[in-house]
Amino acid sequence: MKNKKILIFLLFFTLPIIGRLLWFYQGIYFRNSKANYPVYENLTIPLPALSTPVPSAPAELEKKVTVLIDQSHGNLFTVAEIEPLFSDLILRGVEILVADTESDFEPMLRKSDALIVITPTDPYTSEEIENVEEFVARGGKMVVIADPTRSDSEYQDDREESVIQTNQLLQTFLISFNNDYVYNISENEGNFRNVFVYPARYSDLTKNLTSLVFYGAHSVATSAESVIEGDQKTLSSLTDTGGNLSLSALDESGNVLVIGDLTFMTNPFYQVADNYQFIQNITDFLINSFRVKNFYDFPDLFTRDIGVILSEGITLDDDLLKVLSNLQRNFELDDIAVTILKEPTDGFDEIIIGIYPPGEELRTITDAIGFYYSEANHPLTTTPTTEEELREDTVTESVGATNYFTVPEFGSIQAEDFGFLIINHSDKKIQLVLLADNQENCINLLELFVTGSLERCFVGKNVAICELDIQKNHDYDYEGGLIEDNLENEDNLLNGDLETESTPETTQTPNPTKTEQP
Amino acid sequence: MPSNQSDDRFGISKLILYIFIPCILGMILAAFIPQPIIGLIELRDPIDNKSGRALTEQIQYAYDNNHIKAVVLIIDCPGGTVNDTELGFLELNRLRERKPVIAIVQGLSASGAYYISMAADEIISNPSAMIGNVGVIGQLPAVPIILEEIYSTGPYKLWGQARDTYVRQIEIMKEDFLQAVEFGRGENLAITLEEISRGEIYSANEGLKLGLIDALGAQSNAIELAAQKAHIAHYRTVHLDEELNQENNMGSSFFALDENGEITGYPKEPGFYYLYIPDIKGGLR
Repeated sequence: MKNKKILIFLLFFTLPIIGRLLWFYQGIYFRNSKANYPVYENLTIPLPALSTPVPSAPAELEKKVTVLIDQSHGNLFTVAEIEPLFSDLILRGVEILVADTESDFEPMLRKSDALIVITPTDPYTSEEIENVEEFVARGGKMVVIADPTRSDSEYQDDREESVIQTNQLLQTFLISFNNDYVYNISENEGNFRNVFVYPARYSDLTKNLTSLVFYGAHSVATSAESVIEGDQKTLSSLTDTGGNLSLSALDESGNVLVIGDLTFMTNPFYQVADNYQFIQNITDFLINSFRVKNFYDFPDLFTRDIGVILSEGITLDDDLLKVLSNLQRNFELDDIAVTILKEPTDGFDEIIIGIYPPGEELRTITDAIGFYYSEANHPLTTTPTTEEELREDTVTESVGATNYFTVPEFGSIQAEDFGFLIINHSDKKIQLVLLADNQENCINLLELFVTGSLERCFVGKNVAICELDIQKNHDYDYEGGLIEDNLENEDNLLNGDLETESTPETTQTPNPTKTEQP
Repeated sequence: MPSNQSDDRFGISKLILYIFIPCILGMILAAFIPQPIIGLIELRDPIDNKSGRALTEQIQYAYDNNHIKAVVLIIDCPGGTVNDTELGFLELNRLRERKPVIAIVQGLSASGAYYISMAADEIISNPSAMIGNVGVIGQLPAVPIILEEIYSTGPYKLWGQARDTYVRQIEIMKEDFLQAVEFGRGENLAITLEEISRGEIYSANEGLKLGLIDALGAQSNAIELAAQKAHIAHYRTVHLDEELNQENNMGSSFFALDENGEITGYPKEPGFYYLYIPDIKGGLR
């Protein structure tokens, strides 16, 4: 009975408690699985295979090679950044020019055998583009590098500026950069945008390459030869599709190499995989320029020291010495010495001054390019192209001439009243023949180098035909153009240093250490 | 008669003694049984040192407080620093071992915010919310240089680490994030980790199809689900930041300002971030 009472007591005591518990709780929470945590200590990212870069052996080039680096078009890089390529070029004995201003670009291009353009953001003028096209057409090498990580703007719309400008420059070479970046989510070098890339096929540019790493790269659109490609999983950000995207390619001429990444050739990334080997291959590409200098490059025709050879009938008088002195001074600026030689000598480019008809020693050169002298009566015949461009008075006066030249590209030309500049290329040297009817006119021709202009000449591929005694009738303005006023002070013109017109006439004689008297 | 009266008195007194009094006592004691609480933690600011600390304090409070039977994490956040995000994730994961945790996305659960939500038992999202953006961002440290006036004892004493090391650390953090997603979402994922690592941000609807979240719904649905998981009813909800008298972090200087004093969307401090930087001003910034 007593227990019963206790039970009743407890029942009513616990009833509100149980009621409240049941009001709030309908069960007991048990976690049925343990929470998972990332295994932080096991997370690793493999390091890439490092190459063991072997610096290029210092090499003396057979000829002077000049490489121009363009920094005059808002290019988004510093020369220090491309130090691995820069050093390799220096080791090979290459002269490097850097165009800092747009006015530097064209004159420096004329002196150069190869051109490097990296991420420009300012437009090239149509004239500059034309000059580059001619440069490449004459065998000049060009490397164009774009990089999607390079922009002076953080805004999307402005970031394509570099691609637009490079593509403008590349337009005629039928090759262009896509405004994208490539990535590989599956297999990459530490980051999706750092992609492993591979040689597309064996060539001089891909020799000794197994794989490279590009660190944020544009893909390249080309129908010509792809040099470096991504794998199947390397995709373009534009479409998220890909498969063997080209990241570096050559144009059809083989003279223009485009590369979609700059970072791979910068420190420290050039040490990864075969990146440095590719840089060395690019150096080889640049220095193996078979650029043929012609009168478009005037007066920058020479790549070695110049030996001046005076043919029979030319004497070293005061006038000639004065012009040679100016010539020597001008070429000194380009680190080219001018020396008078008795006969052709290895290691020199040559300026051969002669009076026509050419003697035996000159005829081997003139015959080689199809330039013949004849005393037979022969009417003027010209090709349609030259007929349009030769001045009318020249045409009429030439008919029925007794002495004439058969000039490649021009046909037959009356000898009198004209001087000829003739270029002959051989493996070892560039020979320039100056041919006129007398010593005075030969000197006039030589002065063209001092003035730096062929404006009164009709220029062909290997021959320029120049009206004689022009120097006495015209003055040049500072830009190298002609001013039709008569020259009052002939000495000023003979001095030839147009940019220092106000300076007194030079009386400088050739440097005796460099000039060998005949 | 007297005996009857005595019996009645005895009956009433018995009623009082064995029923009424214990009932009263039981009710008094029952009154001490607290109403279960669902703790609400709001994650609305970018996760930095300050907001991250506020978050972990709330989580720890919920962990220690026995009256809090479940937690609902309310997310509208673009993420934040890697360090503070990881701390939040680890604390929430620890809490989940003791109490159910439900995440409700209101607007945005991107990058670090999504990382933290991987510690939730379930993720519910408003239909129009945005989810994902898995990955890390960071700005490379400066190229090491030496200075005339400053001496240090090693090449990276001044600069911390090589740039390449930094890139690899970012990648490790990405892998860490992906593991968290793998553990958090498990078999629900209908998308590969490789695809997730693209860093895309998805609509909640798309995220549901891809298994990045569990359901579409509102905050009340999340609270009900939390209650259901905790087996509680007639609960009340408590904002834990108010409970802890935490300052509102709004207006914190997490983002850098541009020249006009407007927020850029970029963090002010350099570092590693699980952060979504939305496309504003028609550009990257």
